[in-house]
Amino acid sequence: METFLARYRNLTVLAVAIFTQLILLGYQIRSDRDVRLIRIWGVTAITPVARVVHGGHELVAGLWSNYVWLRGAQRQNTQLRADLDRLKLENQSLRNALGAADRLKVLAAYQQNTPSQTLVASVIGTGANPNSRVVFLDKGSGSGVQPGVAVITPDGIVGKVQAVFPTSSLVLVISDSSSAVGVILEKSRVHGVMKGTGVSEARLDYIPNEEKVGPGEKVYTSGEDRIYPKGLLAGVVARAQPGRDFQDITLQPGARLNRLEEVLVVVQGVHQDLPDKMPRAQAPAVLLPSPPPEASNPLELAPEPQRPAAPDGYTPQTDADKLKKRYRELGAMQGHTFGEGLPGSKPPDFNLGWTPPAKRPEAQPKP
Amino acid sequence: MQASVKQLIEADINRLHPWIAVAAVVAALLLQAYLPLLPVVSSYANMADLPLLVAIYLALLRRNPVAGLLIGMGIGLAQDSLSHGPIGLYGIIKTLVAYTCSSLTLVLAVESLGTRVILVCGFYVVHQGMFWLLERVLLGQAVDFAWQRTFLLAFINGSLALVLYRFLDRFRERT
Repeated sequence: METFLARYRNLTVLAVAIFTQLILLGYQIRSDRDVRLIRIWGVTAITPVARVVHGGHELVAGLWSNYVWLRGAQRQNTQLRADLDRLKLENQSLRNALGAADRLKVLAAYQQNTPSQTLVASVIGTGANPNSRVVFLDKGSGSGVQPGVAVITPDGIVGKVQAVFPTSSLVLVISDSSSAVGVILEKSRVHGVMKGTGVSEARLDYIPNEEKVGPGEKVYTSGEDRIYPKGLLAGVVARAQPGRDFQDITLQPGARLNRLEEVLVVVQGVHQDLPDKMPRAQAPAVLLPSPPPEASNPLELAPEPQRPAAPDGYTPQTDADKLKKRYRELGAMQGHTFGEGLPGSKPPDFNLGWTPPAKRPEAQPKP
Repeated sequence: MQASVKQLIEADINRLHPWIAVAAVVAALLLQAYLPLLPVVSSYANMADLPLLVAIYLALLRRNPVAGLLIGMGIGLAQDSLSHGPIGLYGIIKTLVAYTCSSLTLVLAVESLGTRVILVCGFYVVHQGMFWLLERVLLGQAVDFAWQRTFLLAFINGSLALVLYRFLDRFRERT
């Protein structure tokens, strides 16, 4: 036996090796179990080396791709820059569209709330003369724009339509030196004229020196020029100082005249009250009539005098109130409703029933 | 015949340093496991059987059937342990291949690079045939033997062996 094994030593070892592995294989197949130990040995022996090789590969690959193999990087960079520029333009375009949509939304809300009939128009250009302040609108006679109508924004008045073309119109902006607007001061209700100066600020003329005007006071259209409906914001007082005959007042126009994009053309203007007119509850207190004489018994209060109830809830106390009440009565008699007359319409006759005072006899010359 | 073979063996005894042999085996296993992960060569990585090439090389170099079968068994079992299949499948195949290679060195002059490449091509086909047989017989998997693909891959592995063996020959120590 020993001789046989020694003679066929190689074949014996081969048979043992194959047989052992077949047993191993058969055991795994039959029992459906894994020989975990051998697998752990193999994986444990290979994995650390694999980790080192992987790390080295990552390092080399990173160096290669980031520092050596830069072929096409310039072209890719150029392409990416072009893409970035295109995307920036797209982004800007979308932002503009979004801004325009927001502005149109504000305009639509204002258009809905204002009593005047208006038309939305876009500013498509400015005048070629650097000394004049005019803009072109994209709406013309074809859209119902008439010469002489007002152009406004929710922030304030812009100007008046000077010339109308079939598909566009020319607007003289209030900052132009030839422009003038009838205005009224917010607090004192003093009327004046807002005049353009050719620059961003305007001038307010004909405000007497004795009137108290301060920076920040708002100025509204008075409607007297028959172009701008009453009650629209014209500007805000920037500076005011006494002048020779009248105050020197500088106004900052309410509308952003240097950034006009969408405007409203007042096709049919309607006067309105000043927006900041205070309600009765917050009106300044008026002087009450003198209290009744004291009663003999101090605990016994005098009866409250019966006052005639006015239609608007208060009794005129001052001469101005009485005059206003008379004007209202005259307007009512002639069928006129204050605040609804169109610019250029005939006002009520406030002298109806008024008789001039008797003429004094001239003094006789002494003989 | 015996004398001539013995003379041949004694005249051309070459050996590889054990650490170089171990490194070659580990590198072959590592590359076989790692190359499919590289995007550039992932499509072609599975065409090569580097552990088989190294096993044949070492078996031919040792010229000892017992040492050859042990080398083949070790490489095969290591390859099994890194795969998801049952352990022993590649072990048996590579044991037989390496044993046969080592046995052939006793009767054939295999020092020529061309001879070794032809042996690689032939043993690759034998390797794949045995793998197919064991899969059908032991594992019961009904797989077809792709002859054309096998011969093509045998040629590819033979070409690869040409390069690999020339590289490994640089580390041989003439005694």
